[in-house]
Amino acid sequence: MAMIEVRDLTKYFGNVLAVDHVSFSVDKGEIVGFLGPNGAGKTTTMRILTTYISATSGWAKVAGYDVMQQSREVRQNLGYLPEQVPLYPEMRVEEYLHYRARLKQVDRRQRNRRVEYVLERCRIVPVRRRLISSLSRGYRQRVGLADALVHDPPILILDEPTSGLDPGQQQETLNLIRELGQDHTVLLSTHILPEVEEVCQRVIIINQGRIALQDRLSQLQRDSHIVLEVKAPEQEVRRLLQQVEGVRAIQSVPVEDGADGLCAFQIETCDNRDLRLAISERLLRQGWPIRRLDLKRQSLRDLFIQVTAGRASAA
Amino acid sequence: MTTLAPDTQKPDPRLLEEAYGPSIIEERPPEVARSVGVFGLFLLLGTLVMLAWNAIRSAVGGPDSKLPFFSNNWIVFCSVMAIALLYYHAAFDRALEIRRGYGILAWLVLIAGGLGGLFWIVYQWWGTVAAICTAFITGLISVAVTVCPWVNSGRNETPEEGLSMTSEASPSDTSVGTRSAWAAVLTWPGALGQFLGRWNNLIGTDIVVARITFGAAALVLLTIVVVAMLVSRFQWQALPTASSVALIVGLAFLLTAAKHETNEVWRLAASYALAWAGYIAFAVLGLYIVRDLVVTTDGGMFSPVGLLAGIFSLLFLLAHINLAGSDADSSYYAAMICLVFGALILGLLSVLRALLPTLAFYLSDTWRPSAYFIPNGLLALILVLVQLIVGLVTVSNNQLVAIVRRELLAYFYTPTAYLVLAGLAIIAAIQYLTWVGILHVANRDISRREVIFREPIVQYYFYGLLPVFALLAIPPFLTMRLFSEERRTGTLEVLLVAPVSETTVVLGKFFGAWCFFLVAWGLWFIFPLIFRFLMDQPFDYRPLLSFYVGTAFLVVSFIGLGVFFSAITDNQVIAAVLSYAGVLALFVPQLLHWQFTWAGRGTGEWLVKVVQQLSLLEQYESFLQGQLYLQHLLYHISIAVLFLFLTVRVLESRKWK
Repeated sequence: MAMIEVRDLTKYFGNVLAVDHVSFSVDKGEIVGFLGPNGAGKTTTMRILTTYISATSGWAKVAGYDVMQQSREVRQNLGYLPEQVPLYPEMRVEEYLHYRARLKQVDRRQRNRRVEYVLERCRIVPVRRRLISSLSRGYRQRVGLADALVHDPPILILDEPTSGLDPGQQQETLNLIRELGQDHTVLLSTHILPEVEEVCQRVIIINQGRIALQDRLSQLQRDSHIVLEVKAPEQEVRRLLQQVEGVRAIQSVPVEDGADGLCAFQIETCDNRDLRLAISERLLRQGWPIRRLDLKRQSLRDLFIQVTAGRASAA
Repeated sequence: MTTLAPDTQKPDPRLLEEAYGPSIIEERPPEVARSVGVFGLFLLLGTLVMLAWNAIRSAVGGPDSKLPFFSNNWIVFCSVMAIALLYYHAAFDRALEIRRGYGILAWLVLIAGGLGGLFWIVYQWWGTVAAICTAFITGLISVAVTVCPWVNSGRNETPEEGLSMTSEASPSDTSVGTRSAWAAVLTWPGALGQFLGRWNNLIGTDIVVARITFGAAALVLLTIVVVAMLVSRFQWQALPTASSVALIVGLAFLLTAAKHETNEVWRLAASYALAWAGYIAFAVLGLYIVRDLVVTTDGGMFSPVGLLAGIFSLLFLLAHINLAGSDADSSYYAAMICLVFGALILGLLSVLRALLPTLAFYLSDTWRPSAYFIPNGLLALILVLVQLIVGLVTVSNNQLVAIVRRELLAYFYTPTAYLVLAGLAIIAAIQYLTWVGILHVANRDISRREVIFREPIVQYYFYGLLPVFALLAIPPFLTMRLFSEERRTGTLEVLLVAPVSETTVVLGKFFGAWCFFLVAWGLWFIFPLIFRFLMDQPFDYRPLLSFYVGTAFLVVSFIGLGVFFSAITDNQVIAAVLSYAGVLALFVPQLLHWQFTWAGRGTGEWLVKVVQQLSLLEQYESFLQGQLYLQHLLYHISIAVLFLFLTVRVLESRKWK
């Protein structure tokens, strides 16, 4: 069941096209990474989903409710962590969460329990009585997350939840998000790619307002090629490789800190088959010493740069 | 063992200390609070010297020794200032030991005040013996309650815990403390010994600081008792006053100490003690209501002691709600009791107020409920109304109430509230003194009949530059940050993404500002009330009521304007300037009216009539005369509604821009 469904969403700010016919959907229980360079339209899309602004055309449904027509129901089912985590600096953490719980119509009997739960869950119990203005960036982020969770929404929309955190805090936040993914649907925007590889099951890359790519992470990372460095005459190796069954294309690449007589190849195989054993067998039979034989999966980083840069140059 | 698992272990004591630390937004060096505290101590010392000097003079005797050398006003002023300064120190000192010291002081003062009050009440009703017995029993109970946290903390806290107050005490010391605590439950001297012993453990760190604090505590306690006694010249009638002062001071200090307490046992003890004090005060209030309604139907309804008990019950329960958090079960029950009780008594009083005079007229020739429950019945009505509102606000699950609460509290989180309240109190005091001066002159020259002061004489208090200035200047000051601040910091997005409608947000902010204004503006009315009730000057106070209601609605339009202007900009200064411009624009009919008057245009013309109706000062004057015209109120309400509607549209405009 699609918890978030977006069709042909378009948003103009004056004459500037911020989001251009974006369509995607997020299923229940998924953690989806929403990627894109700065200014790609991530925040705008998220703001439309949270009903804070409305789209110029197209529609979006969150938890089955239309963001335009049923915005209250949408907001009731949604926890949102904005990028800058704006909080009231003059309130204390606990006070703030109680206020938010009341505002989000958490029942009185539930309220204390929910607040205690999110304090515990986001690990902000030690700072519960601190003034928000005196909190560090990491703690503010956690308070924002606690606020997003306090009314137990099935859907979480997190806009760059790890920006401005130190590596330890980033890891903690990611772990938390992964835990939350077990019983929440999470849409998570970021441009720190290793994070996405770690927690997300699916990615949507958006560039210049358009969806550049969307697929399951496992699908994206299936593309692989074999890297080979061998000390042998280049032409002969090439001929030999072409005889290996399943090789689709062979490409010579420059050798890193090249020694004499060393040549390097990048080999693409049909159906991304792992042909390393077959290749090494043949090469060893010839008695050529191998310096490197490696299966290289395409990293999200490469993909991201490829997709966004390609679009940018095409436009 | 150096495994790093920050989240599974106990929180860092330093972090905890900081978490509960003083409510300061900006960091100030500890010397500031301490110097303020020392200055307070100095003042307290001065007060004591003055008292002693007066006492010696009257004891030694001599020419005109009946008159005190230092007037009571000076003594009261100095002691109040001293307490205020010490309170500042208690709230803002960074050292936990010092804050705890003030906390203990607060316990003592509170118990003294409670004992005094109860003693007096029982004495009034059942005589001396009963009073002494009650005082003894309640004294034992309160000592037990006080000592319990020490007993518990002595047991629970082991030295390793680090953040405990007994960190420096050895285990044997703790067990001795426990035993002596139980002894303390049984005897007063035991309690004192227990207190001193625990004190020693408590301070531990810095003996100089400890001595200073202890000295301060003793001095404050002494001063309160002595001042109260001397000012009243040892009259029994002064006991309620002294107790009230002690109760208020104790409440304030205990609340501050408990809010910044790291030890959960201490916090809970303070919180529940405040709740129970509130319930006891409630019981006293109930007792007096029963007495006044059933036993003596003739009285002015509610003796002052009953009213005081009502006020205290409200204050103590509020303090408990504040400490326990408004979502706690105990807060819910406290608020529910306030709510039900307030509603019941409000209904009962209103019905009685309406029926009794009529009944009395038809049923009896002699029995007349005195003055239709005025003034105490009226004050009681206001009291139960406040109780009702407090209960409702705490219990309610409503979003509007949540926003109003936050906005009201937001004024107190920042210095705004204190600035406005202090400023208003000062200019109201200046105006009051001027007013009393005028009346005094008029009274003296009454034989010459040169100056005639007609009733309502309160118009000379309110018809002046200062009150009009306050009325015009304060609303924009309150509204300027409402939306502009949220816009600037981005919290508006968070607020509007919560499942709450724009209308609720706008109304919440509006009512928050309005409620704060009503409280602040209410300060002006305390002075005339003092003049009437404490100085026994019978003047016509009823215009005060119509004036309060009238001005409350007069500012509705200003606040509506202010809300709108703060929504269209993210700059507070611009919002304030635009709001002032708006208020001035509302003054245009007044200017026109003056023009017409000077030009001598006839009053029959419709334009002149309309302009006169719309003139703010004309309306102001008619409120003061006790005339509350619906068209005036509607005028302001409709302006407010218009601007609030526009504000909602401005907020919604983000969706269709």
